[in-house]
Amino acid sequence: MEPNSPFQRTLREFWPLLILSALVTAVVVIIQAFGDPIVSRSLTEALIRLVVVVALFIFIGNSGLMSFGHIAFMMIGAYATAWQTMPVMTKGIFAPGLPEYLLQNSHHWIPATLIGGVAASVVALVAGLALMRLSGIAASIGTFAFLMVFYSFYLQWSTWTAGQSSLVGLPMTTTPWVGLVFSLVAIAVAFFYARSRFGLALRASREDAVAAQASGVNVQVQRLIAFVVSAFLCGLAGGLYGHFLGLLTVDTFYLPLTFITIAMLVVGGMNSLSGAVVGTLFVSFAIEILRVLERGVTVGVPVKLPANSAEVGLGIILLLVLIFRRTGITRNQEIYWPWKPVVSVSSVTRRQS
Amino acid sequence: MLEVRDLHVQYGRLVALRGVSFSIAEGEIACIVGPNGAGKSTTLLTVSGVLKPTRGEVIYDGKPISGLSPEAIAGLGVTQVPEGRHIFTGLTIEENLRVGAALRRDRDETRKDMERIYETFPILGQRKTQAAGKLSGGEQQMLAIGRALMSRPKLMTIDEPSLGLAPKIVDRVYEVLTELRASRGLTLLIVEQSSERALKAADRLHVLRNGEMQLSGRAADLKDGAEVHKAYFGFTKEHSGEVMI
Repeated sequence: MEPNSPFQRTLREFWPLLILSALVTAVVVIIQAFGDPIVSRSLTEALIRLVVVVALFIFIGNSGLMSFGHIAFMMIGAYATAWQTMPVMTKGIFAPGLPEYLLQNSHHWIPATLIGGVAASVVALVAGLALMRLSGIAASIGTFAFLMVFYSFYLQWSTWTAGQSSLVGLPMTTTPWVGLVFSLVAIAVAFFYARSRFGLALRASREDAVAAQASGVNVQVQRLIAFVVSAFLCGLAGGLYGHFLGLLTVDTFYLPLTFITIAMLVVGGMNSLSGAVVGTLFVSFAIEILRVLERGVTVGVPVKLPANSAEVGLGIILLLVLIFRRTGITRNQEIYWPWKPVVSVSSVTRRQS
Repeated sequence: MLEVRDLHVQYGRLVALRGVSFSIAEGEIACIVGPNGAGKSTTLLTVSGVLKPTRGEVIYDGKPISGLSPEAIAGLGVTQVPEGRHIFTGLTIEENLRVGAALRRDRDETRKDMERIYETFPILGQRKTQAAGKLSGGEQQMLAIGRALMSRPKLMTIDEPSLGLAPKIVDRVYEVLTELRASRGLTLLIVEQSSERALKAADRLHVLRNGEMQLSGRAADLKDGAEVHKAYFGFTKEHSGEVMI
């Protein structure tokens, strides 16, 4: 291949997007080839989480602010979608408070999921106007409070959410292939966002907020844009999750899910899209192995781990990463073009001091 | 082009500036010198809108700007190169320059300006895809200046361009700044600790001490340094006088 040809330059530019998409697709194709229904379900769940983790990366990775509130967006999306897609029969029983139109009609899951995403981003826009004024740890605590508020609210809103009980009878439409399509969309959105002038401005504010402002970047507005975009993807993931489980419980969207998705991002490397993808795949795979061991297998000798080993294992993985490799598996780098750099720098560089 | 009138600035109850006034004509290089804590950086931060004055105003091109946000002031063509350079170390050199053009929408022109900066600072062009944190101190200062140029400023304010740099590199920085004035008609407001260097580079010199303007004048008239010394330290130079800061 001719070095520096337009084709090669384009390929280099889009390399992380291509390689990550190929990686996720390959994993799905290989696992589906075995056709094990249990593994295939775990795979779907991992793909939904991948959408959430990529969404978290869009906000956390680019802004440098930690958010503990994104699972609330997933919840908002999940319920907003379910209100549209549940069969008319069950709606009246479990969510009698819904408006007349929703009670009488049931919609296809694809437009419903998109509307769920929009609902989550509208909430993000309103909440973000206040939250994005905060910085550092105050912002993180603010997002955590946001999660708690929405969790309590949905728990009490029993005529719409069935409160402590569940909404049931959601059509189970989320297959691994659906999960794959949404994962690829999320990865593409994150990739193009990070390259855009919005993503660049936000990353600049992450590096140095004062200098970014001096260059004319409105940090609050940039944070808000990322917050809304990532909330949209979380809302989509929520919609998918409801149609994966077939039922919705408010408890699903609280601390355990918040913890595991953030752990996935941290393990992979918070500041890179590759980190989000690799972290999700790695942690999902590790948990799956531990679950298999919990059930007990025979490898020459019978091996059986105590119950909840998966949670302990996740904690250990996170600790090890934080101790030995704080920037994550990917060291916060994107997967780069593996061949020799086209511009050689060593010979022409004259260090000035 | 810029007029600062009776500026008072406070950090909480701590008074940093008490009634500072000066003005800069278009195409001029003005230097503010003074000892630590004199209020030099405060003056620049107030001009660029990061700090709000408690009294007095900043007038740019005939319009008061002291109430505007930093982004809005940057949009009017006043760009700051902050103290300690503040480049985005985790971004590449090219990305640093793109952020400098954050307020611009003319893609092709932005591209051309970037090429022009690579011509002025070849080292940046050679290493444009590398992380900016890998540059040396002098190179980082060039990048900070290049980034500021990307917004096509009319007035550029620079806070201590010599900070932490070897004297030879500082010479080069001032050379570049003088060239920029000539080639782009840029007006420069520079904060500097060394009055000697300021006298060499500036058209007009302002000496600030304890939040008050001690002396303002044409650099050519202040060449012998005695007046500047008195304004800078608050006492006259009684000894031989060959040493100047």
